[in-house]
Amino acid sequence: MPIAVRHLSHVYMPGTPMAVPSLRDVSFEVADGELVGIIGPTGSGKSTLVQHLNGLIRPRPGTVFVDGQDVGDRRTDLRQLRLKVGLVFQYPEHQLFEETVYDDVAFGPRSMGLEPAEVDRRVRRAMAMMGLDVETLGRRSPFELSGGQRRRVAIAGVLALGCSKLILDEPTAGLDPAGRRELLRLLTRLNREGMTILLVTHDMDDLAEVARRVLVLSEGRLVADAPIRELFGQHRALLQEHHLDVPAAVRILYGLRERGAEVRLDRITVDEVAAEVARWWRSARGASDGRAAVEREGSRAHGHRRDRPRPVRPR
Amino acid sequence: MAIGEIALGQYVPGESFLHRLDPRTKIGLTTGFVALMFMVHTWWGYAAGGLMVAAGIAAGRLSPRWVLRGLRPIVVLILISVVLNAFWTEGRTLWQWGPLRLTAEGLERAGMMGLRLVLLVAGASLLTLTTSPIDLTDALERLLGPLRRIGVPAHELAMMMSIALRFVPTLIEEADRIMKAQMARGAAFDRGNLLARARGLVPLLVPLFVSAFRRADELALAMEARCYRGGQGRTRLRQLHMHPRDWATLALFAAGAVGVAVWL
Repeated sequence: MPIAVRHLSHVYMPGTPMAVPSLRDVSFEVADGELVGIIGPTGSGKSTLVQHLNGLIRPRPGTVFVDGQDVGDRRTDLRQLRLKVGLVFQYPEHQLFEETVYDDVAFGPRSMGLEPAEVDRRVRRAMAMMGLDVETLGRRSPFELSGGQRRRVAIAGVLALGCSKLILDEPTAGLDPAGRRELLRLLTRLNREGMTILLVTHDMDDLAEVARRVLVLSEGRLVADAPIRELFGQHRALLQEHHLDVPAAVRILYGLRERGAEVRLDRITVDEVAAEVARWWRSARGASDGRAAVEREGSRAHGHRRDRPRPVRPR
Repeated sequence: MAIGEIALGQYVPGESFLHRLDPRTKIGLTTGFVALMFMVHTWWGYAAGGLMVAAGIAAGRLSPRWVLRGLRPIVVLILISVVLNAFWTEGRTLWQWGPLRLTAEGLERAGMMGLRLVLLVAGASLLTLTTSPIDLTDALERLLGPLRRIGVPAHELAMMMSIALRFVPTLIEEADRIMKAQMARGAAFDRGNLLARARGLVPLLVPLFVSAFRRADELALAMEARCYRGGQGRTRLRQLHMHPRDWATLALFAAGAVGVAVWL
């Protein structure tokens, strides 16, 4: 059983007036090779949860098993565990400190006490995984790179440990659109090559691009654990209840559906939504030209408050 | 991680008599109290000091637990000084075990030394428990004001202090985060000998400094964007006023302190 969390709870600053329960009775499992998203509003316990998975926080009460090892057991070697479960914190580029990119990525393997040849092999592999070229970037200072590159260097530093599971806390926060797309592409590729990935994020659009299953946390409770299409396609009300929503593109489908359009809601990425809207458009338009009708509807909707959903039906 | 438990700004908001005293009064009281505790050398003197602290706790409507919490960081220091004094003072031997000799005089001195440290820290924590850091630096700026004439940059010092205080929790949080992040990629902060540990701090300190400089830079920019140009001609939102109760408290304390210093 790769990752199994059972009845995990956590209280911040227990025994003081400031005590806050940040996790309440959370249970779930993650199989090898999955790419799971963890979402939830700020303060819902996402970051606390992932810190349990590599033993930065000892589970109590509750248990966390990683590859059959009990994280809460005092005999478990947490350093060994951390080699298996790579944890990338928010803004990981802030932890870079070496003079060159190469040395920074090599920090983990070196502190494991590996042979220089093995260190070199790992650095090259980790940098390649993050789409970084050792020859051109290796000798440069991490502080000279662009934000997106720095972040990938920091992630490579974690991958160099040789982990089989990677947890990322808000990996795309603060990146420009190109950097974001690039990182998501690399993560998807890693996952295809067998890496188990847990992605903590606020960004539903990011999730729609990569995740297949989503855990929803709210006020420390696991309120949903569902395939992503099911979550976005059927449980929008639940998301909204917890101050979340479906991705922007999916909101278009919901809007069309409210107005009576026959669209499927389980299309989640921008490309899928575009294809679905186009399909609906072609089928609904039928023989006659509906463009004028919709434009009229559009301008009217623009001027009015929407008191009740109006059907949009190309004539 | 113990690093999160460091409490520096231990201010407890409240509306008590002590809270409402002018911060300058409270600084004066604390200074006076500290001086007094170094002057007295009798049990009665320390008893009077204890009474003053108790009065302060009552006037600040504080839970004694909070005051005791302030003692936690110096428990080791107190224990060491008590033990040293108890065993290394010449006098009548009460108990001996090898080279260790407990003397009656040593015991007395140790008790007084321990009591003095406890009272000093408790007295000082009355100030920090009932005065917000902002009030404290305002008061310092005013008290240092007259020294400006001989070139002491009072305003700048006070500003530096408030900024430093403001960023202590931020930096602690940051250090905690970086430490966890480096541990997640194989750093060990608790292994090896002293040298290895010192070297092990590099991955923590470099990012911490980088981030501190970045924050300083951003703060300077933000202050300039709001037209900050130092203390010259600056008016204040929060004015400090000495009320009759301040003078009365100071007078009462002065009378008590002189009495204790002379008779006890």
